[in-house]
Amino acid sequence: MTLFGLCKTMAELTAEKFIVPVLEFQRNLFPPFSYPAGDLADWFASEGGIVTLAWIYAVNIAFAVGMTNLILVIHLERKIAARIQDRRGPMLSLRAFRELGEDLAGEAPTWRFKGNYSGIGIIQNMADGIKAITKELIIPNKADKFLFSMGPIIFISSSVFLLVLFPLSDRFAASAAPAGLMVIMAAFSIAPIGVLTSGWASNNKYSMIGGMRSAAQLMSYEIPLLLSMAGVFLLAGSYNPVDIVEQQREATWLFGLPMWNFIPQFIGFIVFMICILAEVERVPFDLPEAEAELVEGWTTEYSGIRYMLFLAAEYIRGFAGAAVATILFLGGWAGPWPVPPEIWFLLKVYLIIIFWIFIRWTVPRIRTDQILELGWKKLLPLSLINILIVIFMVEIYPYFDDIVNLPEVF
Amino acid sequence: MSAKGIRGNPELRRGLGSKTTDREKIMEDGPAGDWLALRSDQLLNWIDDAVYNASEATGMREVVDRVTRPIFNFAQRFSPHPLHFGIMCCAIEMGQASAPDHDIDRLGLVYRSSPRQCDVLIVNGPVCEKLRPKLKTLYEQMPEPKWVIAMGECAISGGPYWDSYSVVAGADTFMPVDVYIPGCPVRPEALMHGFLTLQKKIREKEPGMFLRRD
Repeated sequence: MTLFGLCKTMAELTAEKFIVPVLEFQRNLFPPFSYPAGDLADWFASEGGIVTLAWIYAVNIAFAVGMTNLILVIHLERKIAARIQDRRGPMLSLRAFRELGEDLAGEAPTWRFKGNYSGIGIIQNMADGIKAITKELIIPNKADKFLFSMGPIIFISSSVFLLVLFPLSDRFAASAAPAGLMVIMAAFSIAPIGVLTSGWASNNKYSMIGGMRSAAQLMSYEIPLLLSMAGVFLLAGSYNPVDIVEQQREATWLFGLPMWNFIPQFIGFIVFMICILAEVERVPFDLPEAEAELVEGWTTEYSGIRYMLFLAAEYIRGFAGAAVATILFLGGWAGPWPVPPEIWFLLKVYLIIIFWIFIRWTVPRIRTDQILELGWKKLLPLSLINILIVIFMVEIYPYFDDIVNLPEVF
Repeated sequence: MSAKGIRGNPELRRGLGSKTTDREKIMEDGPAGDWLALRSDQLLNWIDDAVYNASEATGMREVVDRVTRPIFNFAQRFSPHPLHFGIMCCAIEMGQASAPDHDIDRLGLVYRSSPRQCDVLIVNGPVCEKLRPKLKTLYEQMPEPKWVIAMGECAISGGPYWDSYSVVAGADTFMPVDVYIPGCPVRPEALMHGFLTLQKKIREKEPGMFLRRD
């Protein structure tokens, strides 16, 4: 049973039991209302309408799973950061809901500061998010009002789009595009336009510098990123995430151990991890929002829910970047049997994210003048060397047939 | 001027130097029936007014407020993001409060560098005459709802510089202060207690309404 199959069953049920009867009722009710209702009823009863409805369900389920992961990633970030600094991090407990219950019931307030702060802090995200809704939305007087509003829309929508593009396993996928990874990388590279737009529209020099830095970063890291992915595409012969993971599942080397792509293409793996870190703008490549240099970078003038959604979108991009790295190099959802493949996939993704959080509190930020040098002079040759290694490997592996086994793709 | 006076007064809440808002201009224009066409912002204001009037007339506003007020209040008081702004020695104690011994991140505090993204302004030191307009600007750049904590004797009353020619005698002479934390300098525990007191104050005083109206 795939996710789409499940959604199609649900769509058939809802169309048959709920949507079509309601529209039929409206068709028979009164002539003026019957024109769109009748056509809609026919459409929902047909195959096309059910498939469309099933896609809507599938995309919404994938979106909900991604948003749940987003909450977990933000929580992990804050707690692990605190633990690295020998602190405890946010401790807002579920018991704080008792105060909410008192207020909703209109009872006299009681004060339990000790009880409120004795949990694991998973409620903290909820409090931050709801607070951001209640804050005032400020548009600076001299800002370009249209672009000031368009910047967040470009950035956030292109980031949320990422959530439904990568599959969690071969059965749990909202998108089955044959060029899946190309679409993901295209969606990744829309965001710097939003960054540049909002940085320019804020009419603030720090926002402007942040936006320009984001563009410079895009120029220096996009090319090695895609070249380091080319080796994987050569081996798998496809852009489809399912094909790439199948190739890694079938390839074996010494003692029949699985040969995930990070073993033969270790150079490409390193280059890809550095570049995807720059792509999702995490430390040490968070130049566009360098807190020590630019006030808050390109988000300086944004307040309220816009700022909170920017923050959330960055974590979504981080999650999607880790998912792409897992699919390309860490074998995706391949793993021993008793654990379901979706859990294997999420375990590998969270491993990468925790590794990134450790990096965040370990290394200093890269300098602006070093970033082009690193991208063009070091990472680009390394990724070309990686492609050469892959071509060489594909050519000579029949001579080592007893050790290495690659599935035939060409 | 008392803190409550500024909070309750829409003229002062809007801050210095602000022009009349579009909504007020439209209010002067005339009744809704006289308009032939609406600009987009006029339409938004018209919808705003219509929703407000309808919800007020049907009593729906009371019902919605009764549910949303505790939820928004809960979120506001458990997620105070202070401005990362230090003046003098109390700023060292503010940093110490974030350090491992007194981990103020437990209370959900995140120091943000931009006033646009903050809820709480901590005045931690003597405000000299040159700093006062800048501090006022920082306060006005923060989005509503916002609170101010006067940390230490200098921010409360001028402290040791109470009769100086260049130091303002307390932050509450030019901006509304919600919580005063005495001490010279303030201990990190006292700062944490100040934030808990601010929580208490938000829960009791702040309406946190769904449909706000000045």
